[in-house]
Amino acid sequence: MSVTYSCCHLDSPHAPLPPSYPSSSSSYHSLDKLYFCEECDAVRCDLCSAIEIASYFCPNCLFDVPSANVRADKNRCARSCFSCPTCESSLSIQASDQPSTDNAVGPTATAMTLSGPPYALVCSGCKWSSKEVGWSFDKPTGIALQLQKMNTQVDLVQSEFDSLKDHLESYITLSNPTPSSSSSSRSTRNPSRHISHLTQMAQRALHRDVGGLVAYSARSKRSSPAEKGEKEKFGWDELDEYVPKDSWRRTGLEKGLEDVDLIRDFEESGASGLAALVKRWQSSWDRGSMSREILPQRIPLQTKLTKRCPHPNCRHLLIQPDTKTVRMKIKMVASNYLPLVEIGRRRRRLPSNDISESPDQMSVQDMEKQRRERRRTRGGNPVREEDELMDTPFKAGETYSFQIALTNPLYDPIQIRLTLPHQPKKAPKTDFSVIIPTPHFTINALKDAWAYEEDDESDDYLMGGSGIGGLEAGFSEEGTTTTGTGTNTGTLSRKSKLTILSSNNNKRSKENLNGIEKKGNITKVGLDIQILPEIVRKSKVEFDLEIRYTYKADDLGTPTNDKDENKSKDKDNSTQNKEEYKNFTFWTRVNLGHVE
Amino acid sequence: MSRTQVPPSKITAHSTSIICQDTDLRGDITISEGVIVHPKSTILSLNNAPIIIGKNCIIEEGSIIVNRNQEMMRIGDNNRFMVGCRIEANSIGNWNTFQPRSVVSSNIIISDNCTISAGTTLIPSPTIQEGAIETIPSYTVVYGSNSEKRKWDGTGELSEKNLREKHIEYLREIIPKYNRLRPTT
Amino acid sequence: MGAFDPIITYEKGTYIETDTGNKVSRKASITGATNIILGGKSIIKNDTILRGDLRRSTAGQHVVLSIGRYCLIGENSIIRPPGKLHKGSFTFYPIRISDFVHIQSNCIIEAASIGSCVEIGKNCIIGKFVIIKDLAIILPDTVLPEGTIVPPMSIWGGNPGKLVDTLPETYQETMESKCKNYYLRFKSA
Repeated sequence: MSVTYSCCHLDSPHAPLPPSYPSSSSSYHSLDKLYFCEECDAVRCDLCSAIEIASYFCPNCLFDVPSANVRADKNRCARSCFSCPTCESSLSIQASDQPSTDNAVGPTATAMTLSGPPYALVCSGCKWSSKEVGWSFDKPTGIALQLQKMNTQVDLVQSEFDSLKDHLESYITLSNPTPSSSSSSRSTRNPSRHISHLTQMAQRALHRDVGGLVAYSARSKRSSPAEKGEKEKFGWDELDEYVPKDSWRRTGLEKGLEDVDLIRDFEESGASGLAALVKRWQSSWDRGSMSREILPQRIPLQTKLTKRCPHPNCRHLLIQPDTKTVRMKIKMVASNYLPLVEIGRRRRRLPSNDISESPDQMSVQDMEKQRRERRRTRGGNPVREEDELMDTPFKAGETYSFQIALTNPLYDPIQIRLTLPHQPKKAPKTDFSVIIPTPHFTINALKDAWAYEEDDESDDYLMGGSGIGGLEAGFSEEGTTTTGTGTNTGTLSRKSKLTILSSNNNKRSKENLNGIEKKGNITKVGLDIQILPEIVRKSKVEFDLEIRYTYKADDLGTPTNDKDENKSKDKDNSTQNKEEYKNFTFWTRVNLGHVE
Repeated sequence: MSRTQVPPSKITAHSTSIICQDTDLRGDITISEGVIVHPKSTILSLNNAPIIIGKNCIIEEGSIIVNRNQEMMRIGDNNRFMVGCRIEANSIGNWNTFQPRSVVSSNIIISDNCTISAGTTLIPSPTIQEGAIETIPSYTVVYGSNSEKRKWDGTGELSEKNLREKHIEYLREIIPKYNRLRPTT
Repeated sequence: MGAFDPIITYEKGTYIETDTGNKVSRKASITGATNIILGGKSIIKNDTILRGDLRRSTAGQHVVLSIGRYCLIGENSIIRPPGKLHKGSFTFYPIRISDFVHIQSNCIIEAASIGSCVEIGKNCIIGKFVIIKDLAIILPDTVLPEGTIVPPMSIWGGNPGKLVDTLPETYQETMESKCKNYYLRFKSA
């Protein structure tokens, strides 16, 4: 059971592919993970927003590492933070026991055993100690530095790494934008810029000769080898071939001898002596495969991220963290703009006595007819329903009713229109139909908590109360849309919708009349699901819901990029009154579970 | 295990031990000198087989020590049973630590200086014969989500023992101030 | 948030309500109550154990356990101060729990401090002197070894606990409204 929101990324807003297509689930997120760009008036998500690293910090000592040091520190904490080689929890520093009391155990040994050097790293999770790998330290601080001095790194590997780094360094400095222009262009810098270099390199790797296809590529190259070579290089950044200082081929023989040692070790230690593969992956270079050879790793740094709108003409900040605290300097999140959609109160409709036909023999048209009848007779002849748990599977041929709750995050009341998006002609048919009896309703404004309490006492906080009941009842017939039958009657009359919003009527309506419940800034309306009787497979009950909300625009008289706005939303230009109203449309995917 | 199966309790506690009132002690239990039993802990001997708890053990709240066997369950000195552990071992040596919510099943003998880490479960190895008793060697550490075993090299052993002694000393001072105690002999 | 969350009821009289809106179960075992501070609108559920008696060794009045506003201590959870040697003698150290902290059932907490907007799932074991910073989630069944530091905006899980994910930027608002909502729903029958 979930309600997720669609992000259209950089495309203009459109109804997403229906859930019956396997490819259509990629850009749905829960509301709390979405951002909102006010400039573009669009939803943004983690997949499309442009990300920059604002600051680096160590998750263990919480030290803010200046970004200048990060590369030299190899993205890991350069102070004293290490992770345990056996259980990966962080290691702590322990002074060693005083050697003078080593033979006395018991109450006599209690005299001030805590003492100074040498210090060791110990794990509180599994009692691993760095003495097991022969590490001990003179000081309890700056362990990484002390370790660097001890230098456990093989010289050969280090020099190879350095020369490879030098080789690539020249390339990186060459391809980066010149630093002189960075001050002016920082704000509009394209963060994906050096991704293009990466893709170039990747592409280049793809163009390399594949071992087994040598003959083929030789044949194709033979046609015009010189020209082809020239052509290939055109437009690519030049990266010379790296010549390794020491070839792996030369060490082949020694490797064999090492293996003999390894087998001997393995016989002694048994299976537990062999390091788990996961542990060996974590150390990037060649290490022994015995668990006692696995060394502690410095803890990788974490980042705080700045997120920007991905639109090339916008690039406004969506998220800007404060490096010192957990607060955000800029936080443009969708939950402050879009209503929160929740679904709950599932009920199964019990068969009433007047239905003579058994549900198995009913066609879709019959069910449709029946449903319309039922709605007409509502009120006089209440439908019997039975409460059910949200996570039980649906049964074929049954009708379920839900409540859908929308929470208004704005300080003004909003008008909601719920529709089911048009299905593409070739879309696979769903095994259920969705009925929204009251697709039009309003939600009251968000207020401070104390304001609600006062309102609750005086019972007069509902705005436009009397108007809503009647109008919503009027909308209900027209607005009903179904996916199962493919008859999309999404026509709706826009008449006097805005007057509802602006009218300030204090009369309380009978809210429960059309299944509309209002409390504070939350409005709940009904939603019916009819599972078709002829179901063969275990299908998911999942559908898209188009939600349009009309809100009072506060930036009156300052029309922002008008052309863009017309594109991104259907603006209601019919009212040139003293107050302006705007629409925003978004799509949610509702997953209610599956049919048994 | 219904309450009726448990025979009348025979609890012998040394006068220097501290046993809080709000504890559940049932069966034949002998508590040696200096032991501290925190409130809300349970020591239970089914089958009327005795449980003997050695000197200076700490039994914290929520821990459960059960003897399911016909034989005596002997617990050595200076063991620490931390919050919410459940111990059914046949016998226990000295200086062991049973960390919060660790579980030790029966058919296990624990030697000295072992650590059963938080949230782990120690059961006899599946490769040994059913019903046979497995002895866990000294300095064994049971850790992690798979309850793996490894050997502790003894780093910091002395300071740990020092800490435990100071800890129990302080508890002797502070527990009687705030908790009602059972009378000891 | 939580438009369909049901009301949680308890039998009338089984909880004591304080002037500041705290709801403390009569079935909770609280030792050394004078050393415990509750911020207000916090809920202490049935069969919890709060060890306010394990206080500092130095003389004078000490707060052993301070719990902020809109907190929840779930059923069977145990909060006990951590202890260690300080200048050669043993002492317990206080636990500070900030506002909007939900500790679910069956947890064992020996942390040094827990920041605001922290959710600790069921069956967690939080080791001695663990520091959980503001805005964090500890998944159910996590074991955090002694001295672990949980940075802000992180999700931890496993035994031993590891950083598994980061939280969305909206988490603070989500957690605050969740805690307030829970308090409002927790009523006597």
